[in-house]
Amino acid sequence: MSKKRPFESARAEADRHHDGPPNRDRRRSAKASEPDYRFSTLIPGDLRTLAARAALAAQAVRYRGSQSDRVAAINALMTGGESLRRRSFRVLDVWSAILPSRIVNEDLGDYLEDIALRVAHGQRTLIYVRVGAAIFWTGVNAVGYVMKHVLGRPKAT
Amino acid sequence: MTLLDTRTALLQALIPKAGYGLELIDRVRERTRGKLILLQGRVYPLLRDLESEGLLRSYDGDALPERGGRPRRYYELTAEGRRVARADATAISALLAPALGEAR
Repeated sequence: MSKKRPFESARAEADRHHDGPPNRDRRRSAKASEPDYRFSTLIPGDLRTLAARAALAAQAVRYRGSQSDRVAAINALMTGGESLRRRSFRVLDVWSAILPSRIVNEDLGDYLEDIALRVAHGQRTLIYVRVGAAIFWTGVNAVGYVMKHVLGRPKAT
Repeated sequence: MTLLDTRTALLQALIPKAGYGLELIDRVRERTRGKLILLQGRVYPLLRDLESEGLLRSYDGDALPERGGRPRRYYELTAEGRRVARADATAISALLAPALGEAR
């Protein structure tokens, strides 16, 4: 199924209302009234996403906050940090449901704070590794904690 | 680092004031100029062990949004913990005295 592009509909509309012969001027008038979408098909989705992020970053540049806030905001927007932070928090929130509250508040809370700080500073690369490390270490520590405090046996370390 | 080193480093980091896990790791890293980096996963059980030994006491701080609404757990030295930390510091400075003497 072929999707009609906006410039095609504009051209068809111009054809309907034009009295004279079809020529270059007629096409030019259609182009003048509608934006040119010809190159939109050449831009892949990723580039469009980047363009949207760049627009958000431009807003952040105009933001009247402190310099460090602005740098953090630009970094976060350029790397899509907010959604990354949300995803990481969601995963660790689900994981926290099976952990003792002390481990959740102390260990997992510190991991979340660390992740939020890294995202705010635009350090996106190793966030998923941090999430993996958080799951692994909180799991190990939770086993030790339960063995020590609930079963009354010392941890085997 | 071995467990003994981590324990000593944590006690030394707590001498000036109370702190929570992530902050203590940063303090050790800053003081040693990045030479000692404590492993985050090993720090928390050790802090709890030190608390159960009576060297530290802990309390919850305020809930914070950047932690998903969870409070920080602060640790501070007890009188016994301070004594052990000072004894460790004396032993470490005696160990490092020759190297420090050369540096001067």
